Amino acid sequence: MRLIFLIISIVFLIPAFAQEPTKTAVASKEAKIVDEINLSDADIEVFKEQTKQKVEEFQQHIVTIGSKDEPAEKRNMAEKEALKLFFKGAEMQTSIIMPDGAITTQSRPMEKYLARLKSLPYTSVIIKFYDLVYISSFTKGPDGRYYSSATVIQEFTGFMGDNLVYKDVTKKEIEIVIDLVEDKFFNEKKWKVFLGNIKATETKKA
Amino acid sequence: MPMNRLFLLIVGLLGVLSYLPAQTPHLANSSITTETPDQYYLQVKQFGEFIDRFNYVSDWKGNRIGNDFEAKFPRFHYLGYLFNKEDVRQQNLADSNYRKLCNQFLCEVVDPAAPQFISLFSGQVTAKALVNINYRGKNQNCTIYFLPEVLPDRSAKWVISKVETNCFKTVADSLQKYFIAPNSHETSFINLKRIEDLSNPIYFYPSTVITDTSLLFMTEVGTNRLTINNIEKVMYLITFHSWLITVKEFNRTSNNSGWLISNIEKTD
Repeated sequence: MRLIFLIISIVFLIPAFAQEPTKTAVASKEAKIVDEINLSDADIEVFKEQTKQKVEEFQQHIVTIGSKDEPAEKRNMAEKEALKLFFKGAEMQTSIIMPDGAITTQSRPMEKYLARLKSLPYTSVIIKFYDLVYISSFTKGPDGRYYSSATVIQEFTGFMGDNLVYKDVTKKEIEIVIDLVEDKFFNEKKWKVFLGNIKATETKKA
Repeated sequence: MPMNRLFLLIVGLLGVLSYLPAQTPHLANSSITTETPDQYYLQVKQFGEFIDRFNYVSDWKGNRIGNDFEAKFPRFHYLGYLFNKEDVRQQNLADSNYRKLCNQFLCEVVDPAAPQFISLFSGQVTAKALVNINYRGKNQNCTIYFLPEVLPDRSAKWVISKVETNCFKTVADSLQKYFIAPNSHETSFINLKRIEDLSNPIYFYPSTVITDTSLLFMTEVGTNRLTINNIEKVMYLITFHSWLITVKEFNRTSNNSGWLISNIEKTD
C-alpha cells in the first residue's frame, strides 16, 4: 500500500517540478519577486531601478529622434526602438497653454507623436531632460501586473538658423507597467518594464 | 552540451552582438540630462508624491525621510508646503479664518496621540475628473467620480462610482415614447418585442434606473453614441474623521506648485 502511495506521489510530483521555472530563474532577482504578493522594499528598489533604466532609454531615443544633426537612419532606428518600449496602443496626451491662459489638450497614438517629433519645423532642435526622475510606488493590478508612474521633465528648444524661436518645459507623466513575460530562449519568466500612455503638461513657455 | 543547445546559444549570442552596435551610440550619450532646477524638486509632481509627503515618508527628492530631515523639517512644518499659498484666503490679512482652520487641521494631523495619514486604498480618497465628451455629435462635459477598489488577491483598481452630466435630458422625452403599455399583461407582454427597435433598451427599466446618469452613461457608451474626447482636469477629495480636503494640480512655475491642498473644510 505504502509503495503504491509512494509511486503515485512521485508520478504527480515529477510534472510539477518539470513545469516550475528553471533553477536559474529561481536564483535570479526577478524570480524572487514572482513568489511574493506583497512587494518588499528590496523588490521595489529592483523595480524602480529597472523603470529608471527604461525611462532613460526612452529619453535617449527622444533626443535622437528630435535631433536634426543626427543621420536619418539613426533617427529612424531610434523611433523604432522607442516604440518597442511601449505597450501596444499607448497614447501621448499633450496639454498646451494658449496665449489666453486656456489649456488645449490633444491625444495622439505614440507612433504619430514620434513621427511628428522627427519632422518639426525647426532647422535645429535641442531636447534636454532634467536629471530628476520621480517614480511612484508599485501597485498590483487585477491582471497580476504591477503599475506605477514616472515623472520626467523635458526642456525643448527649437531654432530657425541661429535664432531661438520656441522653448518650453514640459512635465511628462509616464505610465509604467511591469509584466511577467516568458523568455523562450532561457525558458523562464521574467519581469519586464513597459511604458504606457504619457501625459505631457506644458509648465513653462519661453 | 547537446548540439542543438550549443547552436541556440551561438545564435542567441550573435543576436545580442548584432543588436548592440545599433543601441550603443545614442545610449552612450550622457549629455541629454541637465541639472534639475530647485523648483521641480519642491513641486509635488504626482498625487502619489503628495501622499508620500503628507504621510512624512519621502523628502523633496523622493528619498525616505531620515533623522536629519526630521530635525530640520518637523512634520507640521513640512505639511505647510502642501498648501496652495496663492489662495487669497491664505494671504488675506483681514480674515484669518481659513488660516486658523488650516492650522487646526495640521495640529490634528500631527497630534502625537493620533497622527493621521492618507491611505489611497482605504476608501478615504475619491478622484473627481472633469471629462470632455461627445454625445450624439455634440461636445459636452461630465464629471466622473472614481474610487479605488481592493480585490481579495490584494490587487487594486479604480472604479467609476458616479457620473454627473446634463447631457441626458432627452431621456425624459424618450420615456414618453418608449414604454410597455399598462395593459400589456393581458396580451402576455407581446410588446416586449419592441425592445429590439429601441435606441437604448434601458427605457423599459424602472424610472429610477433609467434616470440614473451613471447607468445611462455606460449604456450610451455601449451604443457608441457617447465617446470620450479627453480628461480636462482631475482633483482628489480626501476625508479624515471630521475633515474634507481637496487636492488640485497647480500648474505654475514657482516653488509652490503641483498637487496641493486647495481647500479644507470641517465636516462635523
